[in-house]
Amino acid sequence: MDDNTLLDSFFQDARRQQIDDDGFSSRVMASLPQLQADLGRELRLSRLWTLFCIALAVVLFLCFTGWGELLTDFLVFVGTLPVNYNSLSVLLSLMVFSWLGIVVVARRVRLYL
Amino acid sequence: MASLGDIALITQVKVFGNKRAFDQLVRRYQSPVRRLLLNLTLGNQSLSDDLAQETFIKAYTHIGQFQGTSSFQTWLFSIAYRVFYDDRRRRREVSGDGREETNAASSSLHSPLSSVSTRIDIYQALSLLKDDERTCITLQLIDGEPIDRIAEITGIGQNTVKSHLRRGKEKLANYLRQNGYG
Repeated sequence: MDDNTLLDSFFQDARRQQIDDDGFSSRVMASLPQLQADLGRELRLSRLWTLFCIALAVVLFLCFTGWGELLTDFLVFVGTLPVNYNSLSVLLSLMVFSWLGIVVVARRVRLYL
Repeated sequence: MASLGDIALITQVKVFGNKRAFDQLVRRYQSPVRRLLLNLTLGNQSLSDDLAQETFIKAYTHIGQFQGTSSFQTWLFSIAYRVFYDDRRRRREVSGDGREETNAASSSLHSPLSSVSTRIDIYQALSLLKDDERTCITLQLIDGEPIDRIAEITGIGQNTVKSHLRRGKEKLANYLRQNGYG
């Protein structure tokens, strides 16, 4: 018998050997590190989802003429205000807070982009 | 070249960090990787499982480096080979040359692969070989890898692989004949 045939016969069983998983895969999965890329990816997906929800809200707001409703309500509010010092200061405060709110939202949106 | 099924799973892991996809890859390839390391460690099951686990963790953390030009199994084998050699180097630094080899061989006498007719243990036979010879013999005669793929897995030149195979086969064949096999 030549060497190759001899060795072929000797290693026959070894070639057929299959090792049962026996929990090995679970142990590997439990040991996997949380990659920086995973964390970055999760954060990006989370931000994309938030941006999508904001965009959807804006589209729905415009489609259902929310802007018109808001403007009407604002004009009614302003029109029915008694003209005195207190109501003007309230109006000014509202305008300042609205402006601050817009600035904060714009900054957050810029961060996501 | 990686199979389409593997490519789909690997893409899931690379792009979306999909761990369930990686779990499927582990289940698919745990047997050949563990078997290779079991043969390289001469039947040391706990050591080979530790090295196999390290192999898959490295594969996960470096999945971005897999190009798809070779099969996923070849890539895993090349990682397993490096993990095994790094471990050997560490153990040599601690315990000195050769001692680990003997311990592993003596622990493998109850191997399920003992030949019934001649009682020659496969790990006993493999322990006669040098590390590179054993790696090449295991990859060719047990895992059925061609010479060019063995060269790719080990990073050794093809002519050197052929030399290791020739010497390894000679030693094994002589040992088997001396012990009445064949």
